[in-house]
Amino acid sequence: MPRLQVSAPAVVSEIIDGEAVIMNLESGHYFSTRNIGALVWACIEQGAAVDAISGVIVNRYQIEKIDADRALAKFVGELLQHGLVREAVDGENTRPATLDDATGWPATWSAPQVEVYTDMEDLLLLDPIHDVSDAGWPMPLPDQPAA
Amino acid sequence: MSTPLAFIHVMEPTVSVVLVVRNGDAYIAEALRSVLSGPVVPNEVIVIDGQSADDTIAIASTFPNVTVHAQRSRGVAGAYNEGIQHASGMFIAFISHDDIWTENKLALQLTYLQQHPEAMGCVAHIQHFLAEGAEIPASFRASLLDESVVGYVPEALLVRREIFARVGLLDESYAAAEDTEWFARARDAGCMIGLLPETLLLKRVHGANTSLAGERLNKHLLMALRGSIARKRNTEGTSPA
Repeated sequence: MPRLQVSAPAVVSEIIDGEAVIMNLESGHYFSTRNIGALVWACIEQGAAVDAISGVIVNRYQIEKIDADRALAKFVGELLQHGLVREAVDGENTRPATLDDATGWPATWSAPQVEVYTDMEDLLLLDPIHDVSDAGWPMPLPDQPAA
Repeated sequence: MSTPLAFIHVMEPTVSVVLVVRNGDAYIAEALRSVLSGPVVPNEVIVIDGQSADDTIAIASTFPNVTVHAQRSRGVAGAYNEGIQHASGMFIAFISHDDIWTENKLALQLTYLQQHPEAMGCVAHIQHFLAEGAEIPASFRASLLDESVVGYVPEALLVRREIFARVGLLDESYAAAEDTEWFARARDAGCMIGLLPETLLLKRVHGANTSLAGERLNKHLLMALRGSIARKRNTEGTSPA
């Protein structure tokens, strides 16, 4: 499995209280992944290879590698399907991730899940009123009084 | 003569328009003219002013049916909420100091709500346009200047006032995306907000470009979505099997 990269700038996310909330600004769909999924997402964000994540899971939870690999493959497949990650090209996202130091791994193993929400497309599709560019996601100042 | 039944008194709809502003003297006259010059004239325009240091208040005060209130709260959400709380109309609409309603906006949206009693409000399509003398901001999607888009924004919204009792006011803890957060809450509360195919709002594009605003907005959007996800989970938890 090649190294992955979050599909920026269309995909933005925050991890709050063990839940990763992810938005795909191109599709207007949003997603939640909690517990193990949130940690795996954080690891992918930090440039960890899926195989390395699998290794950490095997060590931490004492499960069979084949089970960890299968669960991760399914999870990553869904992230790819929804356009949340893509394969990193050479040289991208090569920051080494110190996975074993990552805090917040849940006490018990459960297969990571992705929840998909498509009910706010029309609310979200208005917001990215900019061309997707490598420069990031600039916004004009809102034409309302400043907070 | 038969006993008169209670007669049905069809009440004239009353409309309040809320305008929040700070230092908007360049465009506010145009905004107010657009609100007050259609075939349906709102009963009141409530201007919530965030300590404007320019001619905003002087200009607004020259228009009929306009009352200006100094904002007491902080932030955009607070300003909207003050306007909503001052509003006495059966219907409430909004406009920004630098946007323009089309002439038929209020008439079309009132007609829609009268024909759709199940709807708690309606939005429409919006058309972005470049301020005179302004340049297209970097990375702005220029196609937006050519074609209108669906506008779930307060300036395109007309609601029955009861919606705020059902959904609540805007969340003042949101420094950005306060309107998206409210629309999400309205949706989660089961409020139907219709979408008119017509372009009823012209949205002026101007001002400097800053990437910080983008990050801030996205952060707040994600918070709003997290809230919606939590509400959906709560609903699932309590619904009967």
